[in-house]
Amino acid sequence: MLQGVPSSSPLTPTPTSMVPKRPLSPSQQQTQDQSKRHHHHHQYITSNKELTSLAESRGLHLLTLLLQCAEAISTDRLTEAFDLLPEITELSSPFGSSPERIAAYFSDALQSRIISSCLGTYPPLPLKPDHARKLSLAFQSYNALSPLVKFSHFTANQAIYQAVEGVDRVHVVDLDIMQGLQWPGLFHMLASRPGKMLSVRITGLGASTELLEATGRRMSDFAAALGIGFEFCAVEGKIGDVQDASVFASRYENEVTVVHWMHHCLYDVTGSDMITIQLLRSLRPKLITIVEQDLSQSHGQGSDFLGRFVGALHYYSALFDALGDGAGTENLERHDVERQLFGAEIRNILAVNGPKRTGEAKVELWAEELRRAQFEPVSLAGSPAAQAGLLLGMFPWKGYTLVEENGCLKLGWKDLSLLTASAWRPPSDSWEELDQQGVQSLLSSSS
Amino acid sequence: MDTLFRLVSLQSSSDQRSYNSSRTSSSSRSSKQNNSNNSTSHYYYSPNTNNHYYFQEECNTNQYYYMDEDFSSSSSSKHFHSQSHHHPSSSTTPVLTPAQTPPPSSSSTGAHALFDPADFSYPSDLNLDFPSPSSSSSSSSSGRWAHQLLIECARAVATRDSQRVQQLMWMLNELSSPYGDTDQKLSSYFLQGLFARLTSSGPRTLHTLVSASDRNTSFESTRRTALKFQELSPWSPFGHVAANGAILDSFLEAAAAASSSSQPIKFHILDLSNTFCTQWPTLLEALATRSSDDTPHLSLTTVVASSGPAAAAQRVMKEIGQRMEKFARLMGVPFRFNVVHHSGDLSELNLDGLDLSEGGSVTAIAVNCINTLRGVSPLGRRRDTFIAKIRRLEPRIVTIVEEEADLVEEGPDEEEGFLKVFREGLKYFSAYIDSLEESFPRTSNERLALEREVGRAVVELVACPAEGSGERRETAASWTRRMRTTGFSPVAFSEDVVDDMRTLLRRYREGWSMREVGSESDPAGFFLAWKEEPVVWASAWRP
Repeated sequence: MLQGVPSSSPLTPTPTSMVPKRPLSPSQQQTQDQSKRHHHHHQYITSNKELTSLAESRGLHLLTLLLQCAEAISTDRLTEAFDLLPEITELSSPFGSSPERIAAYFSDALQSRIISSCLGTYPPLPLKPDHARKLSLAFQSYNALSPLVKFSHFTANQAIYQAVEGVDRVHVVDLDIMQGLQWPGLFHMLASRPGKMLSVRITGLGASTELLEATGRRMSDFAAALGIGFEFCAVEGKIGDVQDASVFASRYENEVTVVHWMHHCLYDVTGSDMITIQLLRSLRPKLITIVEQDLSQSHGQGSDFLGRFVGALHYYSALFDALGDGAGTENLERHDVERQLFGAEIRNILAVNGPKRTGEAKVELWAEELRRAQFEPVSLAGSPAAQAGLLLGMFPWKGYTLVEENGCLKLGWKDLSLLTASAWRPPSDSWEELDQQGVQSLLSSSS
Repeated sequence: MDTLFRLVSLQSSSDQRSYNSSRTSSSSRSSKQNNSNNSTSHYYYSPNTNNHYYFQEECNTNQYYYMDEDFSSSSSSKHFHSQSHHHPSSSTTPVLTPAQTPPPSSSSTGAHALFDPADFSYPSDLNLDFPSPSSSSSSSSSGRWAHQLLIECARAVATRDSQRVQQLMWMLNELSSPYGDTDQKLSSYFLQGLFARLTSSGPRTLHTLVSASDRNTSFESTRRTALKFQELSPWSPFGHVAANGAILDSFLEAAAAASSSSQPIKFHILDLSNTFCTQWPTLLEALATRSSDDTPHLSLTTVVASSGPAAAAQRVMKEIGQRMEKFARLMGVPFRFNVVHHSGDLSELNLDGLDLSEGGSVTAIAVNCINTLRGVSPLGRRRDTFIAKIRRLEPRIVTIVEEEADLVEEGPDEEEGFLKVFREGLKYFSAYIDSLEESFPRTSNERLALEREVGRAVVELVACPAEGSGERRETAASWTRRMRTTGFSPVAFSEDVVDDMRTLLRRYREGWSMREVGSESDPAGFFLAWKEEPVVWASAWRP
């Protein structure tokens, strides 16, 4: 299968003994042992310092090529971009160092992007239940390998717990419930407090009724074990596409509704963002908890292709490092998480029009959007922050950083923020009044 | 260890300016949403109109939808309509251009998508066979989604059905991944090939892929990959065991005949294979063991065909030669090693110029061709000519090992020929990649290297003309016809050799089997099969 071969000189030739196919005679064994020792000797000749700077220059080379390619794409020089890909690919590998792995997924995403740009095909494939299930499973592995998922759960649950103090009927709307990993923790907290929970209702949204029902059953079992009255309502589809909003309405008089969402780029969760905001406004939940990925590192970056590219490069560099820390290069679980989750996200981010993959108006930062829609921030400093801090302390991974900023909690890797958790509540004034105020201030400030 | 993260942080500050400049240049082409620095944009929410709303931007441009600057309004028509001729690879005109997007609609019905998502869904006529969690992992080549999609797509490309091509390539693009399962890998590499064909950029793409590989892969690392491959899969060793067996039997017969007439005999092996001589230590040892009395002198002439500058290849081959000589000394086999470095098509190699008979002594010559013949251009009569050249050397035995696939273009017209090669190539590489997946550990860089090689092979087969291709395999039946026509007849492998081959297979994982080609009365070698699909053919011939 191997044809003729090329040319560039290897760094340190490694003499490998030839492998005879029959059992070795003593003299052969001796020859083999000698070559093995020779091999090890060679490896130690290159000093550690040389190796580090070699790795750095390689990383830098990869980075330069990636940026060149992205710039070419952003200015429609697709052939040029396409020509850069083989070099990037050859230097990359999903089984290598952090930069090599990142480059592997970025180059694959760039190739995908070039092809779809040429074809003029932009939307994603509809999400099939089988694939949705695989993603959920990968998410569970992700949960095991880093505190990011638990961070979202703990922080949000703590904020929700505080918001429903003294309330005995709670309705949780989870915009993307997947396996519902988050909620047992909340059940536990609610079951542990004095006074009985009359009912906990969860309305879970997702792509497949089959998976939703399985999640519902699991939640049911868990609630039953804790002695909590529980109802599950499965809503197949995206919140922004929901025709009949009454499905989210309160069932009981004293029921308090909270909405939760953990953001990712695996698939579109909200559908029409505009309708989602409208719905949230009309629902007036006691609390909205959101955990968002910090994909644009600076506000000036913008949401055009190059801006998304650079933001993603920062984000995933940190994330790959975080996951790589402690896990060996052979780690299969980490490989699966990177391939199925991060690789898929990177592809979506670099696709035409970004992760949402439609030409419709879309929200860039939900925290900002909620603020603009007149929701008021609820500070997560205090118990939620303390919970998050405890969580980090529980895990062996050093290097994660927790910062509280303007009432939001940011979890990052070595000061690069990865996730921002924020909480919101509807204002005391009515929407109409606030909108009127807003229009007036706009009219008076225009010049 | 320093990571991309730290480097990215260092880079971004210095590159900020360049990003800004490119953004402003493209922002003139399409309108885009303002960045959220200034939060004066806000909602106007009117509860009485159904879902009717719009952004009011600071700069007072009403727009009904957000247009990412990715939607270029370049005036090139959909690219794949215009390709009817071959683009010279040295031209600087861009081969790839983005598809023209339909002009924005000015309707006032709120957010309006620039394309109709209904156009892009799973095609209803294709009942795609996606594996369900309960299905087994058998690799039957029919019924798996990658095969279905790829063949449909190839057909659409051949018949220039642009809408179908667009739809199918879109799906393939979404589903494929070079790091996924066998289906996803096949999709990735064959999509790359089809895309190159569609955009008439086959030779250019191949050139870029090959140079990148050449630049970044050393001769030594290729050798390491080959060794790893041999360790984990019988794909290569099968041919080696068969060939060694046939050569040894032939040599010993010659030695016996020579000793009865008390003539000193020498052996000479002409090795036309790029296998880093991994085949020969076993032969040397067997020769030492099985020779009665003194072991006759063995010369080995290895022809190394290399594409790039020969320095690295020469150095490694010299090292290999030294080790071979040392080993031979240990075995007590009088031995000489020669290397010939050849660049260019093998059909140009001057076989007569090699001094195989070494100045007149009685020499039994064996010619060993592992994956050699397919490297000769399939055009004209070059393959037959090459075989005839071998015939002229008057070898005692010629061992031929080739991978089993029908990849020579034939057919009533070019499109039919292409489709045939596509189908056969898909079948062959599907078995190959599947066997790699089951032989190597999941996180193997060696397997990745072999897969990337497949990528280059597929671009060559699917998007490039047949001349220079080293990938144009033929079937055993086809090679047999050629050998016979040139005056060779098959030599059956002895019982012992066949046993050796069976023993070899037992050392590897399940899935491998072997079977005889031809009939008992008219044998023409053995197949190595992966999940019942013949993949490698080993045979022996004499004039």
